[in-house]
Amino acid sequence: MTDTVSEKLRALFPDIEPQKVLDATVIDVEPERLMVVMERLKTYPDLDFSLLLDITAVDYLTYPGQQGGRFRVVYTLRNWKRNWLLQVRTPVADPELGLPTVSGLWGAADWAEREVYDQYGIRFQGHPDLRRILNHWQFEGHPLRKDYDIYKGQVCYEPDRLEKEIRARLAAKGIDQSTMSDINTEMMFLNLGPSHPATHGAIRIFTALDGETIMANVNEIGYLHRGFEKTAENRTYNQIIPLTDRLNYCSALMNNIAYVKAVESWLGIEITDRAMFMRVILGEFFRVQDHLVCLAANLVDMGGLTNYWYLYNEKEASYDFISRLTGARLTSSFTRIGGMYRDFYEGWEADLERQLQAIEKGVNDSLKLVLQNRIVHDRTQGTCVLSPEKALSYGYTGPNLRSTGIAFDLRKDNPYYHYDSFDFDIPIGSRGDIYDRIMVRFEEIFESIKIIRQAVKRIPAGPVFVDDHRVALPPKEQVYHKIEGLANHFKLIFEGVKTPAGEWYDSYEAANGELGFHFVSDGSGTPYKLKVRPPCFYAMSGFHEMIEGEMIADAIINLGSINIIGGELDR
Amino acid sequence: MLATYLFFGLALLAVLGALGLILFKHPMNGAMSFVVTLISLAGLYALLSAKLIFAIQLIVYAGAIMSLILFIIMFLNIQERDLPIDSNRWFYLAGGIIVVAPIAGLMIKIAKSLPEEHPELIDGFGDVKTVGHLLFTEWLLPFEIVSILLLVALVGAVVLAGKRGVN
Amino acid sequence: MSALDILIILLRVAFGAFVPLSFVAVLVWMERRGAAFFQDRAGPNRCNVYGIRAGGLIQNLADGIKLIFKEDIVPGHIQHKLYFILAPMLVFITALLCFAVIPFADVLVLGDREYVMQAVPMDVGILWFLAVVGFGVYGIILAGWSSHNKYGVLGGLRAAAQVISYEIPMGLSLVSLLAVYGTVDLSAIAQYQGQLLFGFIPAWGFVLQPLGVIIFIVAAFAETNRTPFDLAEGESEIVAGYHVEYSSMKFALFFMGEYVAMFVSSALIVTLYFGSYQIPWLSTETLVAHARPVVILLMIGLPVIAYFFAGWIKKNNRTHYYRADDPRSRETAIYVSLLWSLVVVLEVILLIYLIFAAGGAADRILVLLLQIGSFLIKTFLMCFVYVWVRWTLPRFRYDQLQKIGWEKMLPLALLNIFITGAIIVSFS
Repeated sequence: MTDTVSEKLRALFPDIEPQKVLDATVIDVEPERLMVVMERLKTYPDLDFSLLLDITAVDYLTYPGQQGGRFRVVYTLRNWKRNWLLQVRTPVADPELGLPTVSGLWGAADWAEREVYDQYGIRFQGHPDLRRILNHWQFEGHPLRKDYDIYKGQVCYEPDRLEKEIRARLAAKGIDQSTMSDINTEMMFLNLGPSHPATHGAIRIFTALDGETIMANVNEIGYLHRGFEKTAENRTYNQIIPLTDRLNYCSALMNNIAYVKAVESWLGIEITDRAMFMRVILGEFFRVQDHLVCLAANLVDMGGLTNYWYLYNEKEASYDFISRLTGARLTSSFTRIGGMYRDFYEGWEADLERQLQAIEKGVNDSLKLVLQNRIVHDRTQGTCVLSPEKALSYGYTGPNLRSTGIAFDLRKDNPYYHYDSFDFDIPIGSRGDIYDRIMVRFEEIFESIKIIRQAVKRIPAGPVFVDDHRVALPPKEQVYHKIEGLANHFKLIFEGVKTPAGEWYDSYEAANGELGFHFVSDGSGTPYKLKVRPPCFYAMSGFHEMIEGEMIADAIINLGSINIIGGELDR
Repeated sequence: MLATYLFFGLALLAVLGALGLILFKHPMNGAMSFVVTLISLAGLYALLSAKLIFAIQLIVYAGAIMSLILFIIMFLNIQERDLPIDSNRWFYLAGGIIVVAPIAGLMIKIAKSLPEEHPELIDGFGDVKTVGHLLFTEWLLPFEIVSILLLVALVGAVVLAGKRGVN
Repeated sequence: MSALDILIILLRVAFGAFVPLSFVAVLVWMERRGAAFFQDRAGPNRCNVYGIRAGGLIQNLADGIKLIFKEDIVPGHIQHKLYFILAPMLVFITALLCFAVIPFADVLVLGDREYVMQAVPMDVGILWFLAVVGFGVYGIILAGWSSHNKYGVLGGLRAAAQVISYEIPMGLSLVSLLAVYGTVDLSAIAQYQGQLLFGFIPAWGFVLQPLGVIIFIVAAFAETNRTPFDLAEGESEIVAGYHVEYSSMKFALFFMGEYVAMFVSSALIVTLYFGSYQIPWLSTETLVAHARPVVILLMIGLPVIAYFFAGWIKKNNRTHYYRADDPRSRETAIYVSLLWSLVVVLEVILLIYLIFAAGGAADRILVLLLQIGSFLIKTFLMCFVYVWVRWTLPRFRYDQLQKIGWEKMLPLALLNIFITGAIIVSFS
């Protein structure tokens, strides 16, 4: 399939030579031609890269054998219909001048470019609102530049007023100062958050209200920013696994799987069948957990606290199984590059099945309260509608995208771990309203349980770790008695798993959407650069489009329905 | 005896409330003083054994109308600084006294002409049935005219509110 | 005034004041345990005094002590401190005052004197309720406004708009009900419901006004600001609405006011639509005439009920694993012995009554107590409906709530008036 993409690209841009890296096609574009190329990629029906997954930059300051400019910006694009993954790389000569913005083409570029500016100090010409996003506005320097010392902390105090930004949004909607000072249409500015019961974390939703109707909305994130990417540059590959737990902490194990899958695919390691099935079972189990949390919290926001207990009780009970297996309740860190930390324990099938039945019962109980409930229908149907075009433009993936009617799921479209051999359906919505988002998640719970049951039946016996000395620790027997074993153990622990030099992107269908990892490796045991493509970040970037014109109560349940997880959003 | 004390107490409260209404600068204080006046008046009605009027005074004036006014004060968040500066305050006060004086004289005259002895209350005076009966027999026409007046006012309010919403 | 008169007045006022207050504790307990029951969990069951947990009631004591000893904060930014302090009192007092006119038993006839069993015998009855409920809004408006907090103002606005607009369908549904009863006096309304319709159906309000009862109950739910009408608090949306700035006992007054209001509106629903204190098919006179058989039935029934209740306690109140010197079984033993000693005391009293006092005033007092019991049980069940609804339904959105009030409830209430009017005219 990707061959056709290369052919199409060659036909359009004869002077550009596409390369293939894993699933992705990579092209290098000169900054002068960037806009032309991007516009064609987006608008040509043959190419139709409607989904901008991520934008990031690489700082080659300390990269061995580095030539050319210091910075390079990488755009990751996807054509969801034909499952084409494309990375466009373009060098940046002067970060102050930077590159032209693509935020006119994709809504997702707005926040993505802000993040690049924040972390690397690369400007985007023509960007409507180029401010810091993850770091505090008073922060000095750009933390992901290689010359920014990781130990250099900064303490910032002043809150961001955001008044200029919200006035700009109001002005864009035709509401000027004179309308605002009129007593009949006076605006009230209201902060929902950062500490608000409905933000389930810390997000600042700044709204301009007319009565209870939200006329304009600006959001501030970054309250949970802890520099995941910078920390990752100072850890060996396996040491990063516990950090990934903290991304989407509702489904920690999915992050572990996504991360090691990305590393393994670059190393070219084919993990054992049993490990694959374990990852399928646990991944789907955690998808169920994630959806349970999301739905429970969302229904609480609606005022239906009983649903919360029906769903959350089972989620809490599942932790018994999870802690029995992984030793931890929330932060499992259960995968390793090359396999799993350990095999299932004796009698896990019965535990798992009991848990699945309990979850099914809880979900069905909750559905009884929700499915025929007129209040729920009135609250959720037709509110905060997201059109498929907007969803794609803002880079929505996962259940949020599927609720708009776009059946894009990496498990079907780019199957890994034998997903193509399982019998399951991808539930999609029809209108993209809150109701669809809730119901898609409810349905996905049942589909995931279906997958788990099939996988439990089919799981083969065998080792859970590959027999590959590059990644697997040698048996203790060899470590204690043979010098090769000892040296191998020592090098793996101290230097980490060594990856060949290069750059690659690999993604995984996490509970919230496409969780991608963009790596740059210099051949050592620590990643030169690691960028996460968090699904929530892009979901949040389109949030204002959904809630403007709706009421406060809708905004609250909408925030719950797109499932923003602070750990993943702010990293 | 108790009734007399109660009367004076309530009357004093009513007057104080009325004074508060015109003297307080902040609209919320004014409105709350007026509530005091209305409740005191309700108490006075109760002293007169006019139970229905007592209840209606509480429900309609003290309850509904004043809570709507408070609602509006809160809704528009009217503060002291939003109010116009009335520099001619004393002028208006003097004018008001001159205008009101004849009416006050009339009132005093009426009060003086009241009979000294207390007439016995007829059975069922002021309760719901008696007042209702009187309203719908002897005072039917005035009652209906007032109803139509209120209806017109209501329709007018709706029309005015609707107009603003359209443009 | 004789000493008996004064005693009865005191008792009536005490009933009117203390029953709603003690029901606050019961209702808070019922809310928590009820919620736990609906949500498959245990609810508060740890707080104890020497191992006695009273099924979780001790938790209320702990909460009360906590709230009393918390710092009572008046935030520095509040400009109108008087209103800020007045507001919770208003909410609480108005809720309590509503109960004053609700009859809790039939008129007590002692010798040649009659005593109306209301805290304040007032024949404006339901009008008093409407008036006082209207005042409850002041508390909410003042709290929201004086808190000087945007969430507070939003909550106050929501609450005020909601209460004002639901008073209209409530009042209209009352109009048709009053047309049926022909009076506004709650005592007379309660007595009316002692009749039998066609000789076998108790003439309770919900039989006479099937549409009215639904409108009234929905409006009453809205007036008490409880789920699905709890937008004024809407803890996930506007945090806590009008009482966001309150702490300690001032918050407790709002909290207790909510439960008193719930109790009072349950009592009113029972009074208007569910036969008040009437025991179905047993009017006051029937009960007085057959006092002895009723007592004998009671004497048989009490031990039977106690037996099953004790069995239920024994079954549920135990540790589910082995424990040396199990405190639960000790607790159970105490409960069961308390229960049986209560039964014995009651049996002795009833026996004394049967042997010495039967006939005359004692019969009247017995019936009075029975009717108070019936009234409280009905009110308790109605309160349970409140809890049930709260833990079943999510809340409305503000505009939907107004739409239902004005576009559905109001026309339905008007329709109800027309139908009722037509029926009354055609039958009279």
